Amino acid sequence: MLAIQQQSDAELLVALRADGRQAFEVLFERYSDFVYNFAFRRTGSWSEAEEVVEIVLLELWRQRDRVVLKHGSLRPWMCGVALNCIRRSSRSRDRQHRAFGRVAAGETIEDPADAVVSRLDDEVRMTELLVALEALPVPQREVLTLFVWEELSYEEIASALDLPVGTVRSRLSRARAALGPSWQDAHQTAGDPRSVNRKRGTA
Amino acid sequence: MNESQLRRSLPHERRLPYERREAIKEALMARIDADPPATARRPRRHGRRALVAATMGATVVAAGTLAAATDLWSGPPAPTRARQDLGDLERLLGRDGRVDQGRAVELARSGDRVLYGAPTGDGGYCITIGTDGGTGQCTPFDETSLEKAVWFGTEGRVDQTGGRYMGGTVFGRVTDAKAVSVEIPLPGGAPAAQVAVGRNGFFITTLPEPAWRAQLGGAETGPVTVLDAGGNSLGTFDSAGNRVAM
Repeated sequence: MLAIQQQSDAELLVALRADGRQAFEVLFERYSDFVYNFAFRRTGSWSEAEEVVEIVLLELWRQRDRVVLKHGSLRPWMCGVALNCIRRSSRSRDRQHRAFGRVAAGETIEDPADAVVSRLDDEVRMTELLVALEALPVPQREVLTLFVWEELSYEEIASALDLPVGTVRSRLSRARAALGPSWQDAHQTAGDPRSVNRKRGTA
Repeated sequence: MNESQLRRSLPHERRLPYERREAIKEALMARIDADPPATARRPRRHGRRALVAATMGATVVAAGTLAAATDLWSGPPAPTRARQDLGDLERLLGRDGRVDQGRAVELARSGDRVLYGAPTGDGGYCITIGTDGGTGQCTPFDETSLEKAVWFGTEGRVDQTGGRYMGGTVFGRVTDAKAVSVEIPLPGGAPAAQVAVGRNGFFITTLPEPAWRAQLGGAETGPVTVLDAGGNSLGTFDSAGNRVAM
C-alpha cells in the first residue's frame, strides 16, 4: 500500500482506469480534504462541503476514462468539477443566510462541543468573506479565488474553468482592480465579528 | 484589499471529520463495486470526452414553467446506462429528490450527442448527456418555477490523447412556448448556428473548434437569441442573464 500511496496522480489515474479500487482509495485520501476545504470556501457550509466531496469523488470514478490530467495534477480537474457541482447544487441559493440561520437555530452536530463552535465560527467568517466577494462578478470571483486560495497557476485555472489563459489573466486583472474599494466597503458593514454575534444571539 | 489579506481572511483548513470520511468512502466504494469491470464497459466510439462543463449562464424571460409541460417525458425511452447516470445525479437534489429512472427519455439529439432526462419525485427533473457519464445536472421542483426562458451549458470534447479540444456541445432548455430555435453566434463572421428547440423545450448542438471555444468564452462575447416560428426574436440575452435586446 505504501508504494501506491507514493504514486503520482498520472500513475494512479492509469491504475484507476484498470478498475483500480485501491487507486481510488489512495486518490480519495489524497484529495478528499482538498475538495472539502475547496467546497467550504465556496459554500460557507461544512455540511455542504461534505456532499461536494462525495459528488466530486464519484465523478472521478465515473469519468475516469475521460479525465484530462493537466500539469501532472488532478487538482485543476477536481476544482472544475467541484465548481460545477456547487453552481448547480439545488441548495446553492441563499447559502449565506442559511449559515446564519443554522447558528441561530442552535443546530447540533455530532462532534465535540469545541469543534462544533469552532466550525460554526468558521461558517460565519466564511459567509462574511463570501458576501464581501459578491461585489465581484462570478467569473472574476472564481478566477481570483482559485488563484489566491488554491494557489493554482494561470494554466491550471484555465484548465479548471476551461478557459483560455488570456481570459484567466484578464479576469484576474479585473478582479484585482475591483477588489480594493469593494472589499473596504463590505468590511465596514460586515467585518465586525460582534455584529455577527448579535445576529446569532437574537435571530 | 490585496491578495495577502484575502488569503489571511480564510478560516483554517480542516480535515473531513473521521466518521463522515468513512461513511462517504464506504458509499463510494459500494458504488464502485457495483460497476461492471472495465472490460465489460461500453466501448468508446468517439474517443475520450472531457467534462469541462461550465454552466455559461442562465438567461431571462420568465415564461411557462416545467410543471406546465404536459408530455415532457413522452419521448423515446433512454437506454439503461443513461438511466443509471441520471440516478447518480440524485445527490444534487437533496434529501427529497428521487429520479424516476423508469420515465427517462431522449430529449434532444445532435449527431452522436444525445440529451436524456427524467422527472424527479419532487416535480423537478435531471438531465444528462450521452451514456458515458457526461455532463449532468438537476433542477429541483422549487427551482423550476424560477427557471428562466433559456438556460444553457456546455460540454467539451478532447481527442484521444486528451490534449486537444475537438469542439463541444451546447445544450439547454427554452421555456418560452413560442420559441422554436436558438441562435448561437459564431466567431469570424460565420453565420450564427440555428439550433432547433424540441417539443419539450430542450435543445442540443455540437460545435466544432474554434466555434465552441469562442462560445465557451461567451461570458464576454456574443449574446444568444431566442426565435419564434416566424424568425422573430423573442429576446437576446447575454450569458449573465441580462436582456440586451428584444
